[in-house]
Amino acid sequence: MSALPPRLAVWLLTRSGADAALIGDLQEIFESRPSRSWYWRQAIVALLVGERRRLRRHTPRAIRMAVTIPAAIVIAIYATACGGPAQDISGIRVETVSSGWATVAQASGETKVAPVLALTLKNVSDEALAALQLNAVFRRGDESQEWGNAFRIARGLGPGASISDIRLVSHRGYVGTEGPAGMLANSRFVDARVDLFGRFGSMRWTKLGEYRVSRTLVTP
Amino acid sequence: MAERLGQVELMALLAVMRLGDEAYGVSIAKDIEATGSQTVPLASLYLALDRLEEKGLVCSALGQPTAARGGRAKRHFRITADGLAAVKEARKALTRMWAAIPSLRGDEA
Repeated sequence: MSALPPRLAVWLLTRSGADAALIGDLQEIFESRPSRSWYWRQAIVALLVGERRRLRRHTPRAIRMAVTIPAAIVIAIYATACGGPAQDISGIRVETVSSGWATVAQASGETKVAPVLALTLKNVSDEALAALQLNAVFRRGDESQEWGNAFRIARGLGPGASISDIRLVSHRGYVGTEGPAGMLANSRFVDARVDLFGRFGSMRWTKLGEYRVSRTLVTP
Repeated sequence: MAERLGQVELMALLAVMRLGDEAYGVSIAKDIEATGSQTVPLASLYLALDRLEEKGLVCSALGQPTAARGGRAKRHFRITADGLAAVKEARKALTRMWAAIPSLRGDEA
């Protein structure tokens, strides 16, 4: 069984704003040639390249990342494989899905609202399931391009067990000065939809559902 | 006046030309590795491709997202007319430079 792709590396790449196509390419190669050390080398180059670009524009952020990247490299050295035995995604059922827009940041009179997908997962199989990786890909309107994403790991799925209120909040959203309700009522507001994918270990991602994000305010 | 091209940019442009409609990050990197005998980190390749796009030498479009890529789409690249002109100019310049070195003319290198 091949090793699990390094989740920290994926998380760092996503949060650093790396091109989604680049992350997809890395994943595509990893699927056919799983090597955690290769993935980490690629991710570190991507983080350094991205930071070099930002350095000229956002010095305070560059200073923050100058601390974050070496820390990530140190963690990567200690990162160990944690892949479990192959498990069947068909043992997972998505229940009670809800969605909306949550206020994720407020500062200097500006508010950021981001789409949220909340769901309950049930293990309908008769065996305990290991950590389930969830990846939510948010898109605006009818655009095919990814707008935002969220990654979560659901654990503790014993036979017949459920995990409720799993929330996936997009890292991208809208920023405005009108307040959350005013922003949702704005005529230029574009609705979002979300594709939900899941997998165990280094298996291929399986689409678990596709949902429209409801234009209502929810808690993050 | 044609754009000046870096080495990775030129290799990426040539790979995009060779691959046609199949040119995206993974296939371009593999093509450079196979024909140019060089391994380029994907992030460096994207940096070069982004620069080429900013210069108007390639254009890109997103394909359909697939589950195998975690719901992420491929970014397909295509060379533009300016890109083609830049490649031709680079070839001319390199040919002139090689020709000016007698001991490396032809296949003697």
